[in-house]
Amino acid sequence: MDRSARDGAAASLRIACIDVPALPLQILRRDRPTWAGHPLAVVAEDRPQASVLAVSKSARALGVRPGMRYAAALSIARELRAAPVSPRRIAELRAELVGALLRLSPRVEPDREHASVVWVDPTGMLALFESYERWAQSAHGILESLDLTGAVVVGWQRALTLAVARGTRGVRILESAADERARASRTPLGKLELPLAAHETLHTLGLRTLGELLALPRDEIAVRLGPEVARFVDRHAPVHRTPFEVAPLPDPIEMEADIDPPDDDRARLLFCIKGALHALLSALAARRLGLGTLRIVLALERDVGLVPRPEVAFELTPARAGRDAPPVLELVRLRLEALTLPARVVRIALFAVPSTIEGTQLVLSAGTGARSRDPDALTRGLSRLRAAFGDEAVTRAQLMDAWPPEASFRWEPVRTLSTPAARDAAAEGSAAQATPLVRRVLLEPCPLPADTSGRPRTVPPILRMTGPYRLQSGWWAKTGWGAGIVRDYWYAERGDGALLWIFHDAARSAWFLQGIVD
Amino acid sequence: MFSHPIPPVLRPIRLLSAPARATVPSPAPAGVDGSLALALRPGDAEVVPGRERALGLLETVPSGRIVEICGRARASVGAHILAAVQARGEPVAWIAPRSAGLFPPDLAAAGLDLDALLVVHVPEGDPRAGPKAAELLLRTGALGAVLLDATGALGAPSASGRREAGAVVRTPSGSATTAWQGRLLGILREHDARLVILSPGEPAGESLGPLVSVRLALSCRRVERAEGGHVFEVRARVTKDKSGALSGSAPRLEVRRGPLGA
Repeated sequence: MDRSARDGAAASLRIACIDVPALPLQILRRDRPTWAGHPLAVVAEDRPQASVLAVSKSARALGVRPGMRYAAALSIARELRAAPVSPRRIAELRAELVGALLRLSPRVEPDREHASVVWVDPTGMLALFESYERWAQSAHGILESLDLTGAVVVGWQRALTLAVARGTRGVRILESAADERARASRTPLGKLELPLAAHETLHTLGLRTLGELLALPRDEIAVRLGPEVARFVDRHAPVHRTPFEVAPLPDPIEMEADIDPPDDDRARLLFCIKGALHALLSALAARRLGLGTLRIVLALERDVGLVPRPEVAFELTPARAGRDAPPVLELVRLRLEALTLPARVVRIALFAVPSTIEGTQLVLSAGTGARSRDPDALTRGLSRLRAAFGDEAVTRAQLMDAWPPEASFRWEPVRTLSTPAARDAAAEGSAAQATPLVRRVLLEPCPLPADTSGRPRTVPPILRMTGPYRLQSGWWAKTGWGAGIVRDYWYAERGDGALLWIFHDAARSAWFLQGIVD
Repeated sequence: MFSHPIPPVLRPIRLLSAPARATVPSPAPAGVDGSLALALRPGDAEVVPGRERALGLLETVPSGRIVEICGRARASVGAHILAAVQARGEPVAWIAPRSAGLFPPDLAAAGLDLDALLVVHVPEGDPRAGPKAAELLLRTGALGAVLLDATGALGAPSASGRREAGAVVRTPSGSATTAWQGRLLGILREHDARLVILSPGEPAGESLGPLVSVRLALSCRRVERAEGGHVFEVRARVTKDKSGALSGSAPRLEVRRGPLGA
């Protein structure tokens, strides 16, 4: 029996696993091509105390490990390049991958547990590709076209196929169920996603491969390793099969309109967008979906040398997904007002990202003796603010676990705001009277000149100084951010009554203005 | 195995609970005043009673009005006002450019719930941006108070006499002033909200516009205590009151402690 006939005989049982290992790391490598050749790491946040989440081989060789602090990793590997990768970016790439794989099969299912895994049903594609080998090679070619590395494995049982994929690079077609189980059994446990405690226990017991784990008695696994590991083992049973659930991908809804003659009048542009928007919303209504995000791209008139200008693009997210045009048009109007158009617009393109429409919730008013405030109205107002000033302008403060004042907080973009708990201000009277004065902090400390005696010099001059209070970084931070900081902080009363917050930097032997008490 | 690093060392050379005065040990720069006053522990502060009727804070900043605050300790008083509104269960917002230098750890220490404090960073140098952001927020009717920080970077002239980077959040001038103030006044009355403007003006100067209902001029001075230590006395003088409700009342007096070490 030749290969294609053998494939055809078992066609109804086949499933293909597309595994892109270390997906956040691969996204980082794709998005930062200038970092090629450097050790890479994915961190939780772009700040020194953030945890390292994933490391490249070259970073691991230098001693960087997941779980380390970013600052500590930098002190070990000075050439390390690291950045956070947002869940949104991961979702974007998964959507891109799924969209590409739809060319190879109409049944594509992103795995719900593993962000790096996509399942594809290759059934029925033999007529086009002649063999699963060719089909899988095409799938692998899609990965390469997306600048991703990974494995494509065609097998029978999901968990076993995934286990084979975790120990494979490139393409593998499993000949039979027995072949699948045999290859899966050789997969090192370290490549599988078991609880960390279970990994340690299994290592202590001398178990290294999946086959060794699956060979243990089922009852013993539940007792000695816990229910989670027991479920993991159950998923690898040959009889365990998960029905294929195709992820419905709504077709993108797009609308384009040419502007003839070219125009840059905001009101007329808004009128054009309004017409296209109504058509988009009608298409969404037909699918019983709402508008989640609206992306608008404005193509501009070429300059005198017929050199094309970059397009102007922006995204708007209504406070709540829906099909009402006026709130969306309001956001568009606010954004158009804030835009600077270097030339007239020749074409407008609208792209609607659909979303499901949620039911509204009753809002209970809170507060003692105060007027009730509508949180939904605030959310709508915030979306208008974001449209007018940008997403990064509408923020909430988040305190950080860092000691330099300029790093002790960050501004976090928000789409909603909590309602504060009402409290009895009278009962807090004595405490309120002892509340401190607040300071304003310079984003970057400003150098101050010094007089001949080494005192900081200001205009008007300083009359009195209170301090010093020392802030000093630890001995472990020899390099990288935060290393070698020794600051003696003072409060300096100036002749006009201003109270300055200054420090003397021992490393640089200079005075700096950190802020002011206001 | 890599262990978490120990937090950096914070070693105050002065003890906060030490008795009245102490000299600054070397290596303080020569010429610095050696006598220090100490920060009080929370709860040590006392209020100097007014000689006449003392107003509650929110009475001094009535709803449905535009209130301007100028002088020293503006940010501190502004934070206190927003915290008082939050205590009523109402969200609040602070509008300022990034160069205004808001310091959230101190805002939290002043009693503000940071999760319920919206901070809108408006573009530098655009005089319409702050009022526009205030209007968008107040129109929702969902906020109890909005503070428009128009003081600019650090809220004071530059420490060294030079102007630091960062533009002042200027407000529109001339006839445009009446227009935006009029719009905001109507919205404030409709939604029973407060608008507090931290003004760059001097206490003896003019108010921001004809529709400013109340203007408070602040002064702040260090007051040494007989038993040692010091407090900061913040005095609010009403220099403008269109409604007349505040006239005849004593200047509001607040006693505050400085930040750690001040």
